[in-house]
Amino acid sequence: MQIDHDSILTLQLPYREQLQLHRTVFHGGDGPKVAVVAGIHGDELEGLYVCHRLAAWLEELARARPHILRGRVELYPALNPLGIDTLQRFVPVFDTDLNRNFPGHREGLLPQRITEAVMRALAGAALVLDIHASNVFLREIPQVRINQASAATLVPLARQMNIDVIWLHGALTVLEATIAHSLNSRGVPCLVVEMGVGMRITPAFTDQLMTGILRVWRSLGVLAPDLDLAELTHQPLLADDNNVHYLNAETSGLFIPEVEHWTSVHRGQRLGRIVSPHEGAVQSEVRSPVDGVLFTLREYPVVYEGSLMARIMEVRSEESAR
Amino acid sequence: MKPPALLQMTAPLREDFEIAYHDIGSANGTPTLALVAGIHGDELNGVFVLSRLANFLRGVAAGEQSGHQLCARVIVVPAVNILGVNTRSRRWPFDSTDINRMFPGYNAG
Repeated sequence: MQIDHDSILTLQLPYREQLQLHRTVFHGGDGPKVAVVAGIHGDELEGLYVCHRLAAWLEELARARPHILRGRVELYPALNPLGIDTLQRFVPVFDTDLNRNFPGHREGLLPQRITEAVMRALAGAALVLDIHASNVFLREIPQVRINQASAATLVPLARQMNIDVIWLHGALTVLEATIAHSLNSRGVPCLVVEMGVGMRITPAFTDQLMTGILRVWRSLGVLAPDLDLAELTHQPLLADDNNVHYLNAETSGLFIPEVEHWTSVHRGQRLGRIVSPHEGAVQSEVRSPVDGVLFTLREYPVVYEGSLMARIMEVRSEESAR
Repeated sequence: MKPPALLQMTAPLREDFEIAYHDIGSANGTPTLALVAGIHGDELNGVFVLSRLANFLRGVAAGEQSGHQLCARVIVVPAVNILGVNTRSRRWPFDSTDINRMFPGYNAG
């Protein structure tokens, strides 16, 4: 087993500096190659910590049981390093969403050169995980988002990921310039993981996801089949366009939640209040329209009319389901 | 020749970096003149002017500019906020601070 730190792209910046896209590669046997990418948005940090934890696990494997790695693991913790350095979601200077610049162009602007290099590096992978962390406004339970067009291949993999929700999006909402769409359309399976909240790290979510990642890698033959791993602790619910309800703010103000994220809620239950810093009266309430599970919850307190406050996956009781 | 640096720093996701400057003229004695620009990363005129001036002064010091002679030691810092120049950020990008409100500074800050 061999560990390499290298760079897939070097670009000269205007004043003295170079931009390098670093990765860590763990070589085992001739088994499949898998990859984890993170930090496409500079304000999403959960995936960077996942990469750290995977690197630590693999380094320990290299010391104690190197024969366990049968394939090749590549970690790309920060595809938008300039964004992370500057506390920005988008690519600085170009002010563009890196995840709307795939598959890129070798002679394009800096963002397209990054995405082109990433696409080239990931060719041939048996599975790519693209880890996102929502944004600074919303907290998300660990989930995998899949477009219906790729559901047949990806849902079985996502079921093993130890996540809480698989969210299937309609084929009409394909975002063609994302890494996931670009890879999947070239035959490289890519799962989009969303978890946590922007500009923060939620270690418990990383623990949860680690179990799933390692089990999926074992099932793909990247890790030896006799490797002992923790059992799955989470079974995903299946969300889609028909059972996900969006709750939007009726007034502007400060959102004060009254429920924990990822709890069961019932129809009419108050989830929080929107108040004004100028007066004592409550401006409006946020109530659940259905019985279900609260899987997205507003994190950033300042809200405006129409701001997204929560998403609830409707869960019908067995009686009504029949 | 690698230029001297005011400061060297590491960062988690980028190359180690330094704020380079020019030290031109006799190495003996205290510099007579110091020129500084690019404290704000979006103010580029000074960066350009001082880069050109440093180039010219190096030529003078090397005797390549006839009629000119460099009599004193000169320090030229074309871009203090190099990270800001490269990312079009007025402020110091890592914590979004205005480094022109940070003087005289703190060597453990």
